Amino acid sequence: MSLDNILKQSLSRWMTGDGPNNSVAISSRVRLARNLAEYPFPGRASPSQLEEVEQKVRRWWNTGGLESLGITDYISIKDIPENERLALADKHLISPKLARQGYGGVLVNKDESVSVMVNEEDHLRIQSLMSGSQLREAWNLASQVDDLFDAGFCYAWSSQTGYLTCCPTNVGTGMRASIMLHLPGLAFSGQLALVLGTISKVGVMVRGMFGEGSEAQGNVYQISNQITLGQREEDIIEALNRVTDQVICQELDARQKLAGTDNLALSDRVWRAYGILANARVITSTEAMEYVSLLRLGLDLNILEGLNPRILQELLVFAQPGYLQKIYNQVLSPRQRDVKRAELIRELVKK
Amino acid sequence: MLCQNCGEREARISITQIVNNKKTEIHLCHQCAQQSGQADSVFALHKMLAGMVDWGSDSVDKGKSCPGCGLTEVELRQNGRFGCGQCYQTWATLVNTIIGRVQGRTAHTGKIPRSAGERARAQREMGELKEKLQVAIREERFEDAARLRDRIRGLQKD
Repeated sequence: MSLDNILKQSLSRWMTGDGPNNSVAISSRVRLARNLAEYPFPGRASPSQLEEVEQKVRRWWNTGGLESLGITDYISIKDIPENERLALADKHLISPKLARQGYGGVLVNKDESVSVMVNEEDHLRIQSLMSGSQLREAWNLASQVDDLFDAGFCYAWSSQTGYLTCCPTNVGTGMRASIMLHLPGLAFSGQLALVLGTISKVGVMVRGMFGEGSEAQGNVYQISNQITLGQREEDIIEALNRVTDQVICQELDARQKLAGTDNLALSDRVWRAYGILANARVITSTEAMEYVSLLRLGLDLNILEGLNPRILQELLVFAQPGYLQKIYNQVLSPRQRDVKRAELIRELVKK
Repeated sequence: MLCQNCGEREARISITQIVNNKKTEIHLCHQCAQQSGQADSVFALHKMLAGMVDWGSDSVDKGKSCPGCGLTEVELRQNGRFGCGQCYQTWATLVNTIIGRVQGRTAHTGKIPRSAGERARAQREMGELKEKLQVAIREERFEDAARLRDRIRGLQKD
């Protein structure tokens, strides 16, 4: 199969970039943590209990309890090679933790808008992922999936504390809603620290794109709710929407100002970024993301044309170590990855 | 001051977190702070959260463990993570402290699962109606209050 085809088939629904506010908002995600009442949480369950939980979930799926989800397969983590695991994590379908641990599994639907991790930190981690800013839609979908499981299982829940989870940071709604934003305008105009600092005072978390502890690459940031207890899910989503709408406005404003004040300097940076991506023979992921961010900004501001703006999402996933190894179907050393990454990017930019 | 995570080394770094306008500060030694900043240390963050909780001076009950999963209080304090749903009852007092600190609130108002049954839903509705009733009385909307009172009575009968 040609590289082109492999990449096309690798696109998750969220990567297509056709959601609302897609010039800034990359993707929206809602994750629900759920546990089965009759078993200890995965971290304290015996191997046979872990196995039982997995079997139960598989049976529920087999008997049609989850039929409407369009899930084609249950993927057991121990049955797939490391490359595949890392690739799933690069696409945000499973967590890095699940990719590393030797047990558990995941149910993924056809367009990869729904994934359910089994025996990660909690028995179930139901996730829905959508393109652009669609937190409300993502919550509705995740909640529907939750209902399908709720019909077949007895959840660990109390009227006082809500959904009981392994970690106290998830208890209550068990919900983490997050939106991934591309913020080059704020970054280049030096306002990023101020804006992100301000919003982090109103109960939201700002992180790099791979979650907790990860650094921001390519000016891509993830904004999510900090509190999971004491508010209704819908209210948490609305509050998050209000904050992100503000950030999106400020980002678009900053871009207009950048383009207006010194267009030549900006277009020089964009075209230089293009020059490097189109010609580099060796490139690290950090460097690649830095230039792709500029390229995408250039496309959004019509400085350059002819490239698919999706290139940002594509590189967010495909330029990661796990996915590169999957695409080229071999284990790659860090140096080899930098070479293959450069090769892949030249191919993508050429089109 | 000693590091609130390991309790062994001198604290050198302070981390401030603001949740619901409530400021919490934790003090860490270099080693623990470094650990908590690493991409791989999801666990360290939870340790940090565990470290944020003022455990008070009450002594740890070493003999007690959760009947559901065998988790001991020492383990809970170390990792800041629960072992099973039953832990929430076993360590009820501690749970309230931890959750209060981490979340700022302690009462769930979100989704109710089918498995929790009709009663949980009725209870929730009752609580909400009672709150509305109080507001109506305070604002002297007596007709609304009467209607709310009737609905509460209706629920009580069911």
